[in-house]
Amino acid sequence: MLSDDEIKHIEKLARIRLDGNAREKFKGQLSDIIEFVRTLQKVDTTGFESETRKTPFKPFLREGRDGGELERDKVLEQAPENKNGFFKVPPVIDKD
Amino acid sequence: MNSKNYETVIGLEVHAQLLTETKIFCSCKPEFGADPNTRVCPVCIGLPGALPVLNRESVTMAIMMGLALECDIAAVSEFSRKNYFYPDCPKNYQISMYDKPLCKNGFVEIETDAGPRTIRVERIHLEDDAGKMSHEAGKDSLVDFNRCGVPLIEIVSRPDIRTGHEAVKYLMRVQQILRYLGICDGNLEEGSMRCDVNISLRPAGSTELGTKTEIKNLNSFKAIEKGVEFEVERQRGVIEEGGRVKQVTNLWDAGSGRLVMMRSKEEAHDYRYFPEPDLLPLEVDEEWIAGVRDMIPELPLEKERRFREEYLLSNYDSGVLCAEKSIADYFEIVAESTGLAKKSANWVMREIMGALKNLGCAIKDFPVEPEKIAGLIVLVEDGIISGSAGQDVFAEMIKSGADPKEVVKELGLEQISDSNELEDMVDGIIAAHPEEGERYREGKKNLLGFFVGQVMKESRGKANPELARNIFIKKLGG
Ligand SMILES: [Zn+2]
Repeated sequence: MLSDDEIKHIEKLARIRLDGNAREKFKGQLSDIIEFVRTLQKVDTTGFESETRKTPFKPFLREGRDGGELERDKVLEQAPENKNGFFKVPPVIDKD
Repeated sequence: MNSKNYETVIGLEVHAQLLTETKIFCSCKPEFGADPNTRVCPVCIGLPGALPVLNRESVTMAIMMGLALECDIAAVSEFSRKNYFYPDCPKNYQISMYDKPLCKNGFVEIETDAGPRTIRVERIHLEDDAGKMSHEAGKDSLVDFNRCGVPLIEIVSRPDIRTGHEAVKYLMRVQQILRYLGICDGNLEEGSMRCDVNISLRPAGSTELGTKTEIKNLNSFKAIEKGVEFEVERQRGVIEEGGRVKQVTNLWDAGSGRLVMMRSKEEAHDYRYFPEPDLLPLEVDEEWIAGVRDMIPELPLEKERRFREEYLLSNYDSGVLCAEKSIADYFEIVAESTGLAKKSANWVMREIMGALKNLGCAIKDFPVEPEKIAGLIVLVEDGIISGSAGQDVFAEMIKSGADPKEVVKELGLEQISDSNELEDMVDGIIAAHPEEGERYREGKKNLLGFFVGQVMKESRGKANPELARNIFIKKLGG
């Protein structure tokens, strides 16, 4: 079972805040998912290569350039505040 | 523990912006210094529903660097999401490579004050750059997304570096190779090449790694050397006082020449890497790799070796000339046309590189073509003009870009190498200085310099000094 601290850490990472009831509910659900994966991990896969991304498709690569830049006014409209062509955000000193 | 008994262990992460025509996952054009937020589209600013499509050119360039550093190129590599929230990253994740990088197991050879060293490279992977923020104390921060999605390669070294000096040498070599390949302009100040340094100390002889700290924001070679020294001393102090080094990230503050703590491990990010669901694994076949191999030019170390063998230049000279490919190319044209390798090397290293420094220009903008410099060197070598007249001609050529022969004619600098003309002058000078002549014959041989000086004065610098000297010796006797 995940601890309360772990749930709070996950909330923080996901930038969401859960109230007491929701926290209990997600704690149970997340713990079940982790338990499920833990069970799967017990299967002996020696000799098998990981095929998580196996598809019959070849990746498509882009060559050359066809433009597509947006007009700045349209871009700036996407955020609440801007200044001199920049997006404006509350003061940040640190990646946190 | 004695303070001398520590070994410094340094690993470097270099981020290099690739000079591709478009960004890594969209068709926007990267452009340094463009108006803010004018080089962006739904993909690079992470609007809902937009899908990334990998740019082939960025992969080619990354493979190029991988091959130049003797890496293995993975047949299948994979992009992963690195999740974090910060205003410079509108998608809230960076698309990077995690457990399946494109290039692995390479090395970089460097020359240090203590001799040659090989620094292993763990990996090179592709990723997208973040936007750029400007902060003003106490005020709102401003964000420009133009840089979002510019292709980066991250070159990760093994912890093989031992000093700040070696770190700088490693970085200079990486920068030089990036520039030779033409895939990154390697500008630390503008940030097209950025460097994070990981440092730890351990007891000498130990093979275990100590707790490492990271320094970011090192935007000059000097900052790197100083930042490393500063951090090594700080860690040594902590250990000697019986403390434990904490895993922290420090920012280098060039203004104060100090490190400022940015975050500690407790606050460290939990990036929750997972395979990027919007991109299929990247497949690189042998044909692609072979094609890239053909695009790689002669690299600095090979070129230096060839300069030593072909032109019989010293280690030092070859190193200086090959520091920049364009200088090396310039030298080769001069050397080929004069047939005088060492003389040409001296001219390029002293006069040309000196002039470039004074003019503050790159060799591609230098006003004098290498063929004309070759012409000038030959004029001096053949004794048509004196060495000092050569300097005057050179100065004039920089101003006008004119042909050296024309400048010589225009300035009337042709050297007097005609024996008869010189003999007349010498006779006159000996007649005018009987006393000095007497003392010379009595053994004051260094008066020869005085006589040659007189003939140079009388000819206004145009006499061939070697020739004049020989005539004096003959005529003064003794
Ligand atoms: Zn874009």
